[in-house]
Amino acid sequence: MEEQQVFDRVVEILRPFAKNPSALASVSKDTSIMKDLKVNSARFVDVVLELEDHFGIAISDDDTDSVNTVGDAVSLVMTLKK
Amino acid sequence: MSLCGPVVGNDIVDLTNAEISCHHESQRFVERVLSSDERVALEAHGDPKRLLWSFFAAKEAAYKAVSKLRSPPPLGHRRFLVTSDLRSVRFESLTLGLEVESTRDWIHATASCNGSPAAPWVGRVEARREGEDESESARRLLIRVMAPRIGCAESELRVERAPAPHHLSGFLPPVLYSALGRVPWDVSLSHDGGFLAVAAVFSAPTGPTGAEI
Repeated sequence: MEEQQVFDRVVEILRPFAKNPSALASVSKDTSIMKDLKVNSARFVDVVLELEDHFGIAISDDDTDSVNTVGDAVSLVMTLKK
Repeated sequence: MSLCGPVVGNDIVDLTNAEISCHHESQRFVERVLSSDERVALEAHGDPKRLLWSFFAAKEAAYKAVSKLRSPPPLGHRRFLVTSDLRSVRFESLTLGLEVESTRDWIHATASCNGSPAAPWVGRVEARREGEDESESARRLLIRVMAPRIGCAESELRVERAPAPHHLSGFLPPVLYSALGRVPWDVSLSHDGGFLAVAAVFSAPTGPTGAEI
């Protein structure tokens, strides 16, 4: 799976949890999931579970710690998919 | 001026939010956020939804307090261990005191450490007005609650949060200032859905050689 495809899928997974539609409209790899998209920490757990389901990966607590931006999530998925 | 002594963190959960109504039935969500002991308590509880979000709010509140004592720890919720009586939270070698209050519509957790049980503290929950910015409303609530305690006009107080790009929230914890400088209270803000919550604990001022928080 190409990085752009993973990015697109990650954005679609984030869409229902994001409370800031304008940030979602201009989303990039540098967009912060919590600060910019306003995904709260409870919904962030939901996002992690969705990523696991969609990409067939297991994300540990330590993995989760590395995810701040959309780009971080994409990189984590790419790494765990290898 | 820096502060030493107690630090506080708080977190509010809006129980009227339909999006979180069934999380207590999701085994994967529960396993992701609760320790094994907490899961046992949840299974035996008569109101598992309320207990799940009480545990969750307690962990979030403890995270905020711990982040003031050291570099922000990873937010692995299972690393924060809440006692089943909701009176304390343990994180590594730290034990934090915990207060959890709730109504039908919300749960508010306040975690503090480094303080004596007698340290004065304040907590307040209010409904948010439709359309108002959550963060700004929480700041205004804090100022309204603290002004009479500090003995100054609301117009003399301001809340600042310094940008911190590498923090999950993008900011350092909030700090309350008056015209004379930082006030000797450690403060915490939270909002979720239709509710705002603030907490503050008296934290003695120190001189230039005092312990940094």
